[in-house]
Amino acid sequence: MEGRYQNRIELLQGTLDLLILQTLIWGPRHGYGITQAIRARSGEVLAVETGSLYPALHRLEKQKWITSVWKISENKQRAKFYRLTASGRRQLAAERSRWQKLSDAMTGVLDPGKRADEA
Amino acid sequence: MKFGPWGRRRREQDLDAEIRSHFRMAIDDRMERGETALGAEQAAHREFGNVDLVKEVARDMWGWTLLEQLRSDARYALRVMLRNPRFTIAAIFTLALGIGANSAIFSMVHALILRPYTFRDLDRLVLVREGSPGENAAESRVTAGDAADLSRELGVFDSVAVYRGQEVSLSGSREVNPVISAAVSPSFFEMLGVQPMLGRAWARDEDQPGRGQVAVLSYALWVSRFGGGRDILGKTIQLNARGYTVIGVMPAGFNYPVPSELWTPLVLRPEERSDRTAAAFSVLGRLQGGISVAEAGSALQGFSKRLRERYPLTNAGRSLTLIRLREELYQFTIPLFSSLELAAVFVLVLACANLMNLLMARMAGREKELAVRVALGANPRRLGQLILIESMLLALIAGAAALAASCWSVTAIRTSISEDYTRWVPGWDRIRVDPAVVAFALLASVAVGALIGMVTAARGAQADLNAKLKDGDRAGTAAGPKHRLRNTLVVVQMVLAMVLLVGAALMIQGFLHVTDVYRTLQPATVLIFETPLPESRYPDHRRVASFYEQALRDLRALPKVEAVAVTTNLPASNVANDRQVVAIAGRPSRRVSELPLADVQSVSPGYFGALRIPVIRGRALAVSDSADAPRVVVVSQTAAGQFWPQQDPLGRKLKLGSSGSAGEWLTVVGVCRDVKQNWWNASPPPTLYLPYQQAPQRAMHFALRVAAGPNQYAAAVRDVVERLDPQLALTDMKAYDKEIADSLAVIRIMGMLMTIFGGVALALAAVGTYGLVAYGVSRRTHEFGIRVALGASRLDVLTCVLGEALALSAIGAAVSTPLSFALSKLMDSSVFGLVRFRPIILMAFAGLLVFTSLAASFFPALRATRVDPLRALRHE
Repeated sequence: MEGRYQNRIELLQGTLDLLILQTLIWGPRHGYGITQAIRARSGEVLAVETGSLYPALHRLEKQKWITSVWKISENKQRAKFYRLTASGRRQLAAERSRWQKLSDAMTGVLDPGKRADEA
Repeated sequence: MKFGPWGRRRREQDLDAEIRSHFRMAIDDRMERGETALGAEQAAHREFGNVDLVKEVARDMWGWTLLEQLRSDARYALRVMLRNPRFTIAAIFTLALGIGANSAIFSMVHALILRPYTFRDLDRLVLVREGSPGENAAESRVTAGDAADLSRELGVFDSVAVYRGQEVSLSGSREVNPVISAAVSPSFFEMLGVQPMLGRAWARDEDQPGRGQVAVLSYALWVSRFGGGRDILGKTIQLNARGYTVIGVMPAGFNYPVPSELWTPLVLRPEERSDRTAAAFSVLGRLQGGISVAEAGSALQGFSKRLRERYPLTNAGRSLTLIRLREELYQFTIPLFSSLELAAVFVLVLACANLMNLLMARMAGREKELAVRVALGANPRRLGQLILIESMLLALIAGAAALAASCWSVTAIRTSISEDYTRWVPGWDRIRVDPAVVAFALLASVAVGALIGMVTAARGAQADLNAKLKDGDRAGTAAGPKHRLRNTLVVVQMVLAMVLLVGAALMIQGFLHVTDVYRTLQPATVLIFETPLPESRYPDHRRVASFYEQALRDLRALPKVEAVAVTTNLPASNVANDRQVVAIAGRPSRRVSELPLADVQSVSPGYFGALRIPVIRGRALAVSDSADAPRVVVVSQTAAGQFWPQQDPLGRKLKLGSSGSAGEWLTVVGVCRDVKQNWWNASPPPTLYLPYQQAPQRAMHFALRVAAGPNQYAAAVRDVVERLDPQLALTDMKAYDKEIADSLAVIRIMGMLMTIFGGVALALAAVGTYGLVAYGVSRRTHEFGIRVALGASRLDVLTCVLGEALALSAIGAAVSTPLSFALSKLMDSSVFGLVRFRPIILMAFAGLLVFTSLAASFFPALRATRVDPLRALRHE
């Protein structure tokens, strides 16, 4: 029971990391901006909880996939902006391909016919 | 990662600012969309969720550095400790007792046994001794010839130094004072790695006859006798009425061989240099690097063999052995210190067991709270870590307290023996709380803290917290593995306490026994002193004998003096007698090494009467046994029994040395009762008493038997001696009982320390029992309630609780009895027969143990009888 719970956490964490990295590919953003961007792009389906966002940002920063700097935002406020690093880009590519595989596999299982056609 | 505590604080502020800016942006957004300021703020907060939780999780992301974790854990542990001051004080006090006992003993062991001298590479310095097997090894010196061969051949040594201790008279402007000095070879100071602080030591050629009239002073002598002026160099002083030029002053504290105050070159004439008959010299060697004492010892055996082959006449049956310099003066005390060290370790183990029990009891009380914490997500490993930190902190505070107490107790030990006596004890003055002791205490604290913490935490981790949570605290009967461990700990405490008490009792018994033995000498009314006669003015036997004859006569004539005597060595002097081989008339002559050995003393006729030593057969020595009279000897009971078993010793003849030697035959005229020479002599050695007129010695000890108050006679005695020889020095004058007390001081101190340890151990065991029983009673309130409700009487409950304590203490007594028995056997063999094992002691202590544990559990048991069944049952 405990094991399954942990797997779910990991999956979600992995997904959140992927979303954050992907959001930052178009330029530096602050935390609030990231939540807004993910919400807007997912058509309001994915609402990132701040309780997960900040720990995730700090984790990614510790992994040196993103860096942060304090800057003045578009509304003239001081905010902490996160930027993708070179290794973050590589990580994003890796996560994307893994996500793609997972997605393909899920589709194959859920809809065998379609997968057979493709193959 | 790499942030220290400051980096962490900055990150904390950073996170706060980041979250604030998030809020501001969220609120701004909502207000732009037309919400009210208040509504926007509330919505933003709702959306964000638990701010503290977010911070907490983000913080965890950064990871904790070890230091930060320690800091926060220590802060938490301190809070826990402050919240429960009674427990904290009890724990610190318990541990401080254990650590303090150990650091006090360590300071003694370190100063006396490990580092009695401050010489360079002390562990490579050895003392070479020579003797036939079975001879009194402590006193066996080396002949000049053998020492010279050793210096020439070196072998395993880097260098070899030769010295001879002696007492000289230093003439001042008005009076003459005796000075303990040593004649030493040129390599002596260099080998010890000590150089004069002023002037120089002697050059290589200053040990040639006619050139050696130079002297080096000790710092103490320089200051006390010569005012400490630098102009001392080049001055001439009178030693034994001969002029010596002062060429150097040694640094403060250097007094080897203890307690030397002055050094002169060892000057030997060529014929003395090659002499192989008189073993008169001490030989020091510095081992070559990488050579162990054992290796050097076997090399010396080969060397001795070569000497035996080369000089069969003199060296037959003799061999050279080694002892570490630092062990020279502690051969007899090392077993005492070892038992004391062991006792101190016992006390520490006891203290640890007690604290573990306390901690476990407290943890048992918090089991439910801990279970809730774990269920709510606390990391069980982190909880164990907290317990470890807490016990570490307790141990360190206890260690600091123990060190503070040691400063006092160590000074008390150091000053408990008079300095007259301790100046003979190398290192005694350095029994202090020095860096080594501090390091030891620190190490002991950390080890103890870690041990207690880990054991307790491991027990805690084993506890089935889920079960605890489910069934509450109701499983209140005294079974289960945890209780078994706590019972075992208490039994271990009892066993250790009893073994310690038995050890203390045996040590004290030994002390009382020796004191009793010496009491037969009735020392309280005896004044003793010494008059070493300088060779320059007393060159021959006749002059020595006539001095003592006159002195004895004049002293005897003093009012109220009952008897007066001289001897070469008084009982309880802590100096061994001369020991020589003895040839017995009528026995086939055998090899020298197979001849029996006997202690030899020269005494005056009044000796036996003055020291109340009964002569049980024949007669005592008499004034008529003069130099011209037939040679006679009085032998001790043991000597009589050993040399002439089941025969009448009177009229038999023996002589010193082998039967072929030049010595004269001595006729046995009397047998006296055995005398214990020193406390370490387990059984009295065979002893021969020669009349001093026939075997005069230059350094004799006087014993003056008076009616009362021996110290009042000091002035009169000085007058008598000054009339006979105004140049003569008079040393070590004191009441004989004082001398005996000083010589037994080491056993007295050991006995006292052991008693303190034993008492502490018993108290700790009692506290441990009390804690266990009290805890058991509080857990079983429910059970007792049921028992009483079902008709058990209060007496039943009382006996039920006390019965358990009785069972525990019975187990303790049963386990410790054979252990104590083994200990007493061990002490009997290692503490030189001081100890007499008596079963009654064991039974007394077993009884004391049972009584103590019953007394300790009486009050908790009484509480159990007062359980109100209704309240106890409703309590659930």
